[in-house]
Amino acid sequence: MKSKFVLVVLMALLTLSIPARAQLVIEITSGADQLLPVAVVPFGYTGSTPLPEDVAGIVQSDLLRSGVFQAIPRENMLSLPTSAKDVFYRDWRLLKADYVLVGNVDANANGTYRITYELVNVLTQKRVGNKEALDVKPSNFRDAAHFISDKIYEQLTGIRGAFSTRILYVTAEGNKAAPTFKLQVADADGYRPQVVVSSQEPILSPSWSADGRYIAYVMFRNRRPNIFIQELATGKQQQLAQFRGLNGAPAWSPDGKKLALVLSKDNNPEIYTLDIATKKLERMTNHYSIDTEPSWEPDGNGIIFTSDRGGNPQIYRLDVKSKSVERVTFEGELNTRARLTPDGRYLVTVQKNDGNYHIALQDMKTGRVQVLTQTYLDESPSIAPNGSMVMYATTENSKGILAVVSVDGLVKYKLPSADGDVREPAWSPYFK
Amino acid sequence: MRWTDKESYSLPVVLAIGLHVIILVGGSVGLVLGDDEPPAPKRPPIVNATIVDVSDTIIGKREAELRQAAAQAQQEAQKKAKEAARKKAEREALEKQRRQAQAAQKKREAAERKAEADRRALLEREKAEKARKAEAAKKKAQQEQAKKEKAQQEAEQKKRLEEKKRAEEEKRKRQEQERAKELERQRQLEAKAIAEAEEARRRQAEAEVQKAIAEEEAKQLRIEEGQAVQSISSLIMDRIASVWIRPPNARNGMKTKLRIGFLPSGEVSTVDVLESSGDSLFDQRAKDAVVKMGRVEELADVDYAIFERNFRQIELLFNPQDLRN
Repeated sequence: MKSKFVLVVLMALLTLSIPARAQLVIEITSGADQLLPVAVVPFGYTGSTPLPEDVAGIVQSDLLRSGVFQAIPRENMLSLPTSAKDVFYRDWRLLKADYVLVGNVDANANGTYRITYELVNVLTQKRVGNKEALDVKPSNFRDAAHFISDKIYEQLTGIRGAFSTRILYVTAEGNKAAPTFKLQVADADGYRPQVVVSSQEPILSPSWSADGRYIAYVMFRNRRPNIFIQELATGKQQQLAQFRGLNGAPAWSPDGKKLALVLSKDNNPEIYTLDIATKKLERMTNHYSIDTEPSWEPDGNGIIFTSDRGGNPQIYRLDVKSKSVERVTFEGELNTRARLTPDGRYLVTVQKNDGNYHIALQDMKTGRVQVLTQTYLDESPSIAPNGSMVMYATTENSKGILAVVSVDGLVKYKLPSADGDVREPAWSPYFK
Repeated sequence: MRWTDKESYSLPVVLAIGLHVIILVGGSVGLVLGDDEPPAPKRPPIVNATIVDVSDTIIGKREAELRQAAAQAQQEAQKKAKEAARKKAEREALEKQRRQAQAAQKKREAAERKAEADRRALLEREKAEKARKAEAAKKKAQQEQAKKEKAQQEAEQKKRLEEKKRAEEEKRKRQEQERAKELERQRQLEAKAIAEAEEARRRQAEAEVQKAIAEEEAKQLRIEEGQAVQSISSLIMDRIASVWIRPPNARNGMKTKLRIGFLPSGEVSTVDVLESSGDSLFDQRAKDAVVKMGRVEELADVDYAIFERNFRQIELLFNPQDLRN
C-alpha cells in the first residue's frame, strides 16, 4: 500500500517534471592558466620636443612585472589608436588582446603636459571607466605612469596597485674591508634611487611608518648600534634609543605611535615597545633565549617575532595586551624575519631547509606552507602594501641584490642592480 | 357380566369345580399316607470264621435241633403274621370298596350338576355368541364402510398428490427449461464478452506495439538529441574554460550565472548576467570568456529543432574549483 503510494507520487513527479524542460546549464569549473592579454598602445604625442619618459612603456613594464598580464608587443600592433573612438576592435581581436590602453600626451602652455588615457574592453567593445586626464611636470612623468599603472591594475584585477610605492634598502659600496653604507629610497621598480643617509658604519633594519612619511633604522655609531627615526621629506633625524648592549630591529606600530624594538640592556635580547612621543619603554618578552625581529600585526594587537626558545629560531606571536606568547611556525629547520601580509592571511619568513635559506609563505588559516623562492641565501622579505608581492634580498654572483616574488610564487623578477651589495629592502606602505 | 348376577351360572360352576378338586386332592392324600415305607434290607454282619462242618458233632447236633425248633417257631410266627396281614388286607379292601362307592355316588351327583350347569352355560354361550356375532357383523359392516370411505379418501388423496406432483413436475420442467434458456443466454453473452475482450486485447496489443515503436523512435530521437546536446555542451565548456581568465581576486566557489543567446549560425547574440557573483570583475571576466569563445560553428550543423529546444538560450555557471584559494 505504501509502496503504491510512493509509486504514485513518483509518477506524479515524473509527469510534472517532463513538461518543465530544464534550461541547459553548462558549468565551467576551470579556467585558463593564462595571463590577461593587454595591449598598451604607445601614447600619442604630436609635439616637437622629445618627451622625458615613455609613459606607455613604463605602464607596460609595471603591468608585466605584476605577473597578472601579458602584453601585446608593440611591433605586432596593426594600428596605434590614441583614443577609444579610434580603436578598431577587430584588429585587437585578431591580436587576441582582451583590453587595450590608449592615451595621448599634449604639451600645455605652462610647460606641463596633459596626459589622457582610456581603457577599452575589446570583447564588449566598451570603455572601462572614464577617459582620464593628468597634468604633470616633466619630472613627474614616472609618477604619472605609475599612477596610470595603479589605476589600470585596479580596474583589471580588483586589487589596488602598488606601483607608486617606494622601497628602502641599504647598499654597501666601495672597499669591501671598509665599505660605505647607504640607506636609499627608490621607486618600487627600483628607479630613481635617492640616498637618505650614508655612513661608514653599518646601517640596518630600515622600516617605514604606517603613513610612509617617516622611517626608522639602526645605524652604528662608534661600533654601537643606535636607533634613529627620520622624516623623509625633510631629512630630519632623531636618535631614539641608545641603551646598553643591542639596540635593534625597530618596527612601527600600525597606529604610528610606537616602535617595537629589541634591546639587550637586561643582558638578553628581549622585545620592547617604545612610545615615540613619551619615550616610555615597555618590556614585552621575558625569556632567557634570544627574542628578536619584531613585526606588528596589521591590527596592532600582536607582535610576531623570532625566538630560539624552542631550540631553533622559530616565529612566535606575542599578544600585546596579555604578553602571552605562542609559537606560529613549525615547518623548516628554522624560520626568521617574519612579516604578515596586510590582510593578515599569510606569514612570510626566511626558512632554512637542507642548509638553504628561502622565502616561505605560510597560510595562517590553513597552516599550509609554500617555499616561494629558489634563489641563494634569501633574506629580509618585505611585502608590498597590496599583499601581492614580496621583495627580498638574495645573493647572485657573490653580490647582494633585490628580487621580487609574487605571493603565489608564480612571478619572479630582479630589480635593476645598483652598485655594490644591496640588502635589507623595506617596501613602503601606500602614501596617504 | 358379574359374579353376583342371578341369572349367571358362574357361581355354581365355580363351586362345583371347587368341590371336585377338594375331593380329588383329599383322596390322593389318603392314598399317599397309607403306603408303608418298605424296610431297608439288613446287611448281614461280616464274620471272620473258618467254615467248619459241625453237623456231625454234638454241638452240631444240638444246634441242628435248636435250629429246627427255631425254624418251627419261626414258621408258626410267620403263619400267624400272614394271617393277620390277610385279615387286615381284607378289612382294608372292604373299607376301600365302601369309600369308592361313596365317591362314585358323589361323583355322579356332581356330574349331573355339572351337566346341568354345562347345559345352561352352553345356552348362555350360544346366546352370547349370537349377540357377539351380531355385534361383530355390525362392527364389520361399520369397518367395511369406514374402510371403504378411507379407501375412497386415500384414492382422492392419492389423486390429489399425483396431480400436485405432476404440477410440480411440470413446474420443475418449466423452470429447468427456463434455467437452461437463461444459461444459454448467459453463455452467449459471455462468449460475446470474451470475443469483445479478445478483440479489445488484440487492438490494445496492436496499439502497444505501435506505441512501443513510437516510443522507441522517440527514445532514439531523444538519445540522438541528448548526444548532440552533450557533445555541443562539452565543446562549449572546453572552449570557454580555455579562454576564461579569472581575476587575481577570484576564489573557488564564486559563482556567476550567465544567460547566453545563440543564433542558429552558432554566433552568440546575447550575454546577460542572471546571477552575479557579487564581484563585478569576476562577472565581467565570465562575460569576456563567452565573447572570446566566439561563434560555435558546430551549432550550425545541429538539427534546427534540437537547436531551438536546447541552444536558443542556455545558461552558463562559472564556478571555479581549480584556484589556489
